[in-house]
Amino acid sequence: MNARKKSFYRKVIYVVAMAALLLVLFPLSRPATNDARGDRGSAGGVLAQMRAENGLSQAQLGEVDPTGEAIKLATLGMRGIAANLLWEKAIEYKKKKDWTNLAATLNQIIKLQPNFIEVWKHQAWNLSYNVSVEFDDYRDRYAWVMRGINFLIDGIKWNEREPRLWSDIGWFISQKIGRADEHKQFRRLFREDDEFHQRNAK
Amino acid sequence: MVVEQETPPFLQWLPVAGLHWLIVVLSVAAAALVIGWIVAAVRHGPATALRMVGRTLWMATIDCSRMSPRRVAALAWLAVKESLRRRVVVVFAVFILLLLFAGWYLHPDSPHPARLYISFVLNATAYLVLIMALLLSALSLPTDIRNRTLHTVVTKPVRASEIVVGRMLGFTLVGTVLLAVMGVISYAFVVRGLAHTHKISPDELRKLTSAWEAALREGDAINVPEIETEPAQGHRHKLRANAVVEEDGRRKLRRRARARTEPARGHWHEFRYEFPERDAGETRRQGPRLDYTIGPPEGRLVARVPVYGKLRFRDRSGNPAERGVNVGDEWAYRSFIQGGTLAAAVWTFDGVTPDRFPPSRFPDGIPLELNLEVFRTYKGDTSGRDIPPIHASLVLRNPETDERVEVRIFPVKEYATDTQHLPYTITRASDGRQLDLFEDLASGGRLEVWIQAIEPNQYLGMAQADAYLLARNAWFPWNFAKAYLGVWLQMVLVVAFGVLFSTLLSGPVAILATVGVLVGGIHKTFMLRLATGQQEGGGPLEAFYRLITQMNLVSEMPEGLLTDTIKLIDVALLGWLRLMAEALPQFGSFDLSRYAAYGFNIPPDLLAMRILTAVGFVLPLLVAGYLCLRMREVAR
Repeated sequence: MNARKKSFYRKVIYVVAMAALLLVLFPLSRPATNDARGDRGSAGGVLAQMRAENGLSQAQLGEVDPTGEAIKLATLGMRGIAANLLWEKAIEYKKKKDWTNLAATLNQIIKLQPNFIEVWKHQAWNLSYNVSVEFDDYRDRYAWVMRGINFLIDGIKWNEREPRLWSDIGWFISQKIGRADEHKQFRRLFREDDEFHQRNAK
Repeated sequence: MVVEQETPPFLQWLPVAGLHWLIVVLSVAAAALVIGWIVAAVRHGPATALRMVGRTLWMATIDCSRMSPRRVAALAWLAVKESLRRRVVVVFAVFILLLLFAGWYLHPDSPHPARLYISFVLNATAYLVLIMALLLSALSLPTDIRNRTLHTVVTKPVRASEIVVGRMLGFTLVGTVLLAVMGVISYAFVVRGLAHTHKISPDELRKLTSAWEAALREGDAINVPEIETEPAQGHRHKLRANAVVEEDGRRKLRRRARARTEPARGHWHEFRYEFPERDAGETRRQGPRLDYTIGPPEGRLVARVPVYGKLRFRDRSGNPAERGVNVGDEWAYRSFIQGGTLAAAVWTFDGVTPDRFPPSRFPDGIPLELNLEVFRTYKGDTSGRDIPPIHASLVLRNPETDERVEVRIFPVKEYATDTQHLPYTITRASDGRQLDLFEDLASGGRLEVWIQAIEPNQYLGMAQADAYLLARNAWFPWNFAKAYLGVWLQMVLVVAFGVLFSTLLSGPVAILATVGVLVGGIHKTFMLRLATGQQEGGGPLEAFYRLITQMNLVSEMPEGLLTDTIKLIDVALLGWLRLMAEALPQFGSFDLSRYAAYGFNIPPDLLAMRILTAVGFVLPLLVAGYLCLRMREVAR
């Protein structure tokens, strides 16, 4: 058998193998579809059905963030490593009191891990409690408390069915705005914070 | 900006660094010669080996000294053409894509957006250009050797040294052009991204126009109230359009004037306004009117030239102390002084002379910029509308005559640059004497600045770089270009390493080796800490043992033969690691982006050090690359 024939047979074997694998994959990963009216058409393959049953698809968790999805793709499957590096950076920035870069790094972390609830809870607490107290001017403190609360509100957009974030928003507002040592000043600033109230009026 | 390690003056650094360089280069060269001789001796006998080593050295000297600039230029041009054939402009396209989508990641409403924008463009450019330099330089020669295109080059009368230098120059040229274009686009991106202006809401405007109307009605000026702009990029500015002037004992209202808004997020805007000429009747009929413009942000893209002083401390009893108090911060960069005691932070500045700080250039006095930190042990009075700030006193002292005067007591601003001006003449409160800054306090150009906290049991934190005299503001675009020069130096180093490895390794292995150098160079400090035992966790074997037994980094290893063996092997491995780390360039030190991002001028001394360091690496790499290429059969 000459080399050309050998190469041809190899290609045929590849194609057959691919077709065989596709046959197995089809019932497993067939996507769910909608019909022309937007009603549910087909329930999809096994994985799609399991996703729907357990409420695990991205669209069921909350809004789909194109930025986050783009970043996740750009990490080429190394999302865990990238998230780990960013966490280390965030810890370093906090240690060195570089608040601008800390806030920027947290925004990058949540793009990578938008549905990891502990990230939202932990870092919102970090901003509202740990970072805010580092500032001497109560207006700066208030701004960082609100940064943490806004962080939680952003979290709800991507995780609509997550009661822990709602609970934390209530807790932060009641504890920080309502009962902090500087509650008198915080309550006044909160009352005058038109931007926050307009943003969350709906 | 945090300056954890002081940069020594260039002339002080040069002899030490030069000697270190000479020792390393000579040691490596000697080791290479000995190894070369041993290999040759095994194959041809000691005497022949000696002759071969001598001949190689002689040929190297001739090859390197008789390089033809024309041939080098021709080979460099070949490398440029080859780069263009390899679609090097793809890097540029990726860069443009990154900038287009940067708005997704960069938030101009952060506390210091300029830092984010400048760091982003410099880092993005550095990563892309370094990857490009890596791929171009490491793949070039192996591809030529594989495709046998190099054979056509070496059959021409060219020297191996010219091939190596030509490649390096060619790739550097391509990178330089790309970097220059990216630099210009990045600058425009930063300026455009930070550009904004504010509007004034009708309600706020009414406050001003009502004041104007009242002034017209009553025939005398009144104080114009403070108003606030509408938000833009997440902040507002307060501004007082103080148009009241005193003329002949009467307070008059200026029709048109310009004012500066209060700073917010590290910048301010110029506010110009004009009350149109109208009589009272017209104003009554049409209502008051005000024409105004608010200019672009200013004071954000700056390049401050600081004059740093030496910091020392006094403890709570007033005795000299090496450092202040640690208030429990994990990061011990700043130390703290206790309020209401004799504790003080004392900066000694040299070169405080009228030539350097002429009153004509600094009409408000010499600007002293402070970045102090506050640590409260109690919250203070929270019952009022506002919570009172912590105060500090600013005292100037002549270290030679002990003449001292308190300039003022001021509220401390945290995480923002607070400018305190040192007046040229100061009246001392205790005896009413007027002191001249240059004659009485800084005679000989040396001046001490004392900072003390006023409120008892409240603390102020500081480090040496937290107080400096602002000598001038350098031109920001030039500073931005200097930061790009840092990226350029990194790129030249990567090209040099890539070409070196490509002379003796195949393409993918050369890429891996260059990536290794790059990663090692970025983590050089960590490697040295590991090799010198300053990093917890021990050497590779100990770390592996801890990993598989899930043992904490700081726990003691169990006593016994296993631990002894592990530690013994680790000593040898860490010694090797140290050798490797010492020979690698510290890539992080070439990153000058934080100077540009934090608004500080990149000192010329620092730039000169980095350029010389890069040259110190590139020259031996050129020679090593030449020798390696000569060893290849193709180049003989």
